[in-house]
Amino acid sequence: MLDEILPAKIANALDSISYNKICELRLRNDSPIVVDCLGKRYFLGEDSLLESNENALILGKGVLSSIVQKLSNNSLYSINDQLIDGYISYLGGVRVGVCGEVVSVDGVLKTIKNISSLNFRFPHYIKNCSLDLFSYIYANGGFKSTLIASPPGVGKTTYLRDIIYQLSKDDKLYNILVVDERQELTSIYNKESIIKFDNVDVYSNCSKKFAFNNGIRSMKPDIIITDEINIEKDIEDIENALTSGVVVFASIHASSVADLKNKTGFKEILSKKLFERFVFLSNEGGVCHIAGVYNQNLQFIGV
Amino acid sequence: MKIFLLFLLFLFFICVAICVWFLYYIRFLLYKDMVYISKYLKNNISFNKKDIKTLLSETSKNISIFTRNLVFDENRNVFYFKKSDIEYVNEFFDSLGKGDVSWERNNIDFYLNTFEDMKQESCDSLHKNGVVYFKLILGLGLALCVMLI
Repeated sequence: MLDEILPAKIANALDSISYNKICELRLRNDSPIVVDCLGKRYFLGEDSLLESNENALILGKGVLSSIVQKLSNNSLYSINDQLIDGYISYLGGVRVGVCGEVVSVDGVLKTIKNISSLNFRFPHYIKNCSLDLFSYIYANGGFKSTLIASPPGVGKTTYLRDIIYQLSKDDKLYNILVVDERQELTSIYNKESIIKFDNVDVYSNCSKKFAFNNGIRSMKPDIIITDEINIEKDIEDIENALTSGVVVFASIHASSVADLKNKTGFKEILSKKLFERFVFLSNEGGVCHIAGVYNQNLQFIGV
Repeated sequence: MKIFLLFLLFLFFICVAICVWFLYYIRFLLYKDMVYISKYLKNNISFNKKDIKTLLSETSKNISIFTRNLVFDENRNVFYFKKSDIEYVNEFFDSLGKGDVSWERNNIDFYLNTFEDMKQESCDSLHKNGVVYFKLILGLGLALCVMLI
């Protein structure tokens, strides 16, 4: 999939690794290339993964800028808003994190130049990985608003993606609105092609505020699904959705109940009982493994 | 037989005259198309942020085949354009896609002004030089035919 983006040597080396195993690809200026395979990091060799950097492929100078140009289809302006937020969305839900020198004029961020590193995060689709959760989030003919928490890279997005899939194929034909701020949730590369979910309304590449406000008014959703909320920034919009009778499935970065409790604004979520279920994922029992399900008072109710 | 050969000779001069006039005409078309492309890019870059390739392909049906060959055909054989014109147009396309929206609009504005000047200049050249050379070559052909009769 990245053959047109990456230099041939790197693309060929990646082709020798099973796509299902690759989670991340880290490219740094003038440094050995690092690949994260199922949570373990290796150096990328010409045709295999290496434990040491001795024969690792090294990224030449200036290559990163050309990769960014290609990621933008030679139209940097079309991705500059994303670039300012530190990432670029690419085909099939690939998210590319960008680091470099930030350019600002009069305190306003303009772009990132002299790009020094890129982090490609590859999406995966694990069909039916969320099925175990449905007994906790579905009761009396309705779904419970759920917040899925885990540290980065454990599978929140993969989990949400499967929830979208399960809901979209339900006979009840729910109105599902996906707020896909970073274009990761609904367009997914699956070895050979890009799968798009049917029966789902999608706002992509827009702020949650915009999507929540306009979506509720114009799309009349039963369920809103969104990724990586920021409690401080998004709580008002989520509260508005929940008090409008819409069920919300969202994810957040937090490794434990204590982490979640310490987040600014979380007390408000608890006191107002905005979410009825909290689900913690861990990678101890494999990707998308449920570590615990909690009720609206953050009391443990099962695994 | 002689008359027929002279007629063929005159026909040849007519063809040469048309070709010379046409070179001026397609140069005018090139800059007319470049003004259109620049305006189209400028208007659409800020509105829907489609990539350059998509926007260019949207302009293709409204530009002449000669310009289309220069813009889209990678193995282009555009002998009919002057080298300096080709270089300037390529310089424009190479400059696209390197900045944010406001930078792109300013950059396109810069080239648009030049393209408009070049369009005017090529239009004047078409009406002056193009027509003069056309008549001159026809006159030359006619004179040669008369001399050969």
